[in-house]
Amino acid sequence: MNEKTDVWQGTLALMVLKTLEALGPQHGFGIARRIEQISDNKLAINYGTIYPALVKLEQEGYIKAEWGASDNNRKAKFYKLTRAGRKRVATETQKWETTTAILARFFVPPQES
Amino acid sequence: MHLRQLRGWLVRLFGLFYRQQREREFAEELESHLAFHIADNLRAGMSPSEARRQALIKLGGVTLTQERYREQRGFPMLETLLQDVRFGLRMLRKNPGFSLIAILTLAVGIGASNALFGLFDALMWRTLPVRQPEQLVLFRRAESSNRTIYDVAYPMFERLREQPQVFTEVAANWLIERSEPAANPGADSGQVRVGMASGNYFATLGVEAVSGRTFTPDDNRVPGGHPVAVISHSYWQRRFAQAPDIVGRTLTLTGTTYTIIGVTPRGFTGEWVGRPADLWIPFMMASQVMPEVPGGPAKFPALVIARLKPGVTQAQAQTASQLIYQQSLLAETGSGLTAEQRQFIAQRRIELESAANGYSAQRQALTQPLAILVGMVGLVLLAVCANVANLLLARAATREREMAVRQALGAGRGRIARQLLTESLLLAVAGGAVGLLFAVWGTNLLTAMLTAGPLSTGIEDNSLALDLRLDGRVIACTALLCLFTCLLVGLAPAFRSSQVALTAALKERSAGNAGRGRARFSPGKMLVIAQVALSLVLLVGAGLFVRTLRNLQSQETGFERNHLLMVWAAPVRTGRTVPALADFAQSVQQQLAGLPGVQSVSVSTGGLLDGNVRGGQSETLQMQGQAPKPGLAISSLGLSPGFFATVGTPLVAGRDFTAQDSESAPQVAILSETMARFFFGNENPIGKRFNAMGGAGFPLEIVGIAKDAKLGTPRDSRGAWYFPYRQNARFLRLNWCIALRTTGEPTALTASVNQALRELDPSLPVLRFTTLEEQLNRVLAQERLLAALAGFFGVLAALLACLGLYGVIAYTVARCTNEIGLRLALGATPANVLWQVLRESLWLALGGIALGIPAALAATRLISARLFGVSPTDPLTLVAAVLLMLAVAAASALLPARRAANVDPMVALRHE
Repeated sequence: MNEKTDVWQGTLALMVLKTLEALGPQHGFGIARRIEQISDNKLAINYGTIYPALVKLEQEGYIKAEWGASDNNRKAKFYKLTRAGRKRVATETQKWETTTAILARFFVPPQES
Repeated sequence: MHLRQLRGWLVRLFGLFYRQQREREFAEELESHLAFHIADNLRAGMSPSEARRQALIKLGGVTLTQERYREQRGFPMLETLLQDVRFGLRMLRKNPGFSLIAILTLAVGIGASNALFGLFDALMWRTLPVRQPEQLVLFRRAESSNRTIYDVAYPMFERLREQPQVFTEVAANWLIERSEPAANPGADSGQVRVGMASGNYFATLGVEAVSGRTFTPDDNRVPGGHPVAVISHSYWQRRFAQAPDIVGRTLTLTGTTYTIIGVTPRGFTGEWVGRPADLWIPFMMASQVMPEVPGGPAKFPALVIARLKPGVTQAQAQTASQLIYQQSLLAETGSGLTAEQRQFIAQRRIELESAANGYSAQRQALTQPLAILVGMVGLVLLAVCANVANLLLARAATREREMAVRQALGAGRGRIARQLLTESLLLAVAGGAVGLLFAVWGTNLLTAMLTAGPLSTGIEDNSLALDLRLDGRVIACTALLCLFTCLLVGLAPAFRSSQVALTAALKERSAGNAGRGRARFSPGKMLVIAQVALSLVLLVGAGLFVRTLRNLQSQETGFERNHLLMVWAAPVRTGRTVPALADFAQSVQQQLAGLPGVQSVSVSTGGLLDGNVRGGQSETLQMQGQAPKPGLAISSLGLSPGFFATVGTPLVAGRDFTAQDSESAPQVAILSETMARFFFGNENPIGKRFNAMGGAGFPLEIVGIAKDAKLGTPRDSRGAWYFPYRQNARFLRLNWCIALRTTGEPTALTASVNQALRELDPSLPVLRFTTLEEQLNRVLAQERLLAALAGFFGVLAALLACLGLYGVIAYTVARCTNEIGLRLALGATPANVLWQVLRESLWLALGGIALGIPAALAATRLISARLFGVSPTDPLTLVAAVLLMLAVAAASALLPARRAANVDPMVALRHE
């Protein structure tokens, strides 16, 4: 049971980091909405689960939080990537690409010649 | 990756602070989140209420989100622990009476256990502050008659030293007490304990000097040629005020001046536990520092301590040493041995024992009293824990609603149990902290009283100077005790409380729980029965010890009780030779006899309740015309003429010694009644002759019989023989007892006698002044300690049992108010109700007594060796203890019984 939530939390954290990389500084609602959009609404998450993930990322130093104003001049807490966060995204992206490349070979029909 | 995780954890830890601020921030963040979402929804066309509802649903619940946030922010486990601690402290403050009783009783139990641990640690377990103490071994001689002696003659040490295969080093040391000249005239002379050490002593132990250097083998070659000394750190502080130029300064002992060459580190005082050495001199200086022993260093004994070579076992080393020991013994006795002599030699063995904990002659002697103390303290700790557990159970019963509410709000059994255990941990820690104070005071008290017991260890001075300090081990012991008591005390209530049946407890009615109060075997009742049993055991023990003490105190000592002043002195420490000692004894007698208020003076080599239980056996005395006769322990005493008249021991036959019985006159002796009867039955022994030193002939003539007197302790039943000290003056090397028969109050003369002695010789070590009563108390110190402690603990346990019984009975009465009201309404008299409650208490007490009697009988069998004049199964003591416990039970039930009898039936029945 624990493993599933760990994996899920890890995946969620990565999605948050990637979102911040793409969008730049963003508040919690914006990140959650964006994740749902990207997954084409197939990922039906509770927006509330974003916040513990954001706290953890902040505690580990991958993102930084700041109070600021949105476009509509509404007060919100904005999160942005730190340098460590950017490095993390790069490493994870590379790992992901390597993993998918290896796995892909298993799913390609064997080339017999 | 792991570093980041660590950072995460650390930030979480600090997240414990500024909680409120962060909560506020997050609330704001959630608000803004909802605002964004609602705005979005509004734009999508929903109505305001619908927009809000959808936003909340999508969030997944505000409370849940807040909870998850909190969990990630801080340290849930630590936070709940802090919460529990805060709550526990509040509960303790709300019930000051309960808290005080619980903490104090825990303090007594934990403090006593701690004190005992401190004593054991200092005396038995602590390792020497030397390099690799586990490699050190001591030599001891196992003589055929079950005796082990820890010293060998110095020449034997020199031979045992030649074993490079098994030992890296073999060293020797011998402790003696000396008197140092007083710093100023009129002040008391200083006492020093001097170690005479071989050259490699410090190297063997692995002790480096903090200043200067320690001995080398070159410092121990020529008898009398090395006037150098190494002093201990405490002596440096005491005598030289820690002067920085200590190396090169001098000190004087018995007329020789020694140059100080070094100082040992703080905390090192030699290998003898309880007898710290002040300084060390080379063994070759033995004759200089102890001129009263003739013959040079070869005539001295020595304690041999060696360091095993790495890889060599103690058994291997012992075999090798045994070989050399046997060879040396054979070489000593020369050629032409009979088979009998050869066999005798073969039986003598040398054994090795680990010296990691140092050496202490007192350990053996103190084993039994300490074991008794451990038993007592263990019982007290259990009684105390039972008491506090009972208190907690009683309180838990009143908190049933609280527990039910907690459970209803979602607390699991584990959570409730954790909270209750935290509360009992708080009690235990508080009790432990106070107990630590008790322990410090208690250890000193224990050590002081425990060591003034009978001298059976072969050294004249029995005081234990233990290094008792409050170090990490003692604190660790306290912590463990706290944990132990917490578990013992808190588990039952925690278990009980987490089992609460929700609905019944939440309801107002208490009648639903009436049945539970009458449970026959409720844990509260079990605990109280156990407490009564424990109290009974302690009380019986106390009773036996007190009676033993009384019996011993009322024994006929054989001395004058009221007009006797005794001065205990150790003139041998001034270094006088034997002839000088005899002359000194003469001058002391003459000088003191002239003082006003003094009827007569006598000098003896100890002997008036001096606590000395050493001595030989009757077969060492050869009576003319009789075969050696074993079966009686004996002691002997050197006296001045007129001793018996001075101390008040009547002579039943013959005459006392006179001035005519000098060194050149025929040797004479006086026997005690017991010895005379043992050897001669009803015959008149006057005029018969015997031999006490071995060899040919019967030089001693019996000239008188004296009434029995207690020379050692009130338990003394040895036979004694007396001789004039002039005829065997080397016994004057023992400590003296100068007895003065006074006309008035003995203590009034203390000052003038002290002054006279000071004038005679300012360096004379005067150990103490006592009257006979005081000496009796001194020698019975162990018995007094055991009686006092057992009495104190017994009374404490009984009080606790009383409290426990009160609690259980009061609870039962409160629970059964309805039933009592019913009975009263149906015609029972208040007296009936009173009796019913009393009976309940008595039944519980009887249960405890039934358990306690066999336990007490078993326990007292273990202490039977220390009892005197009373048997371990003494029925009087048992009956008295049982009656006391019954009285305690009755007293405890008094208040609840009266309350029950005064119940107004109308009110009780109406109060549903």
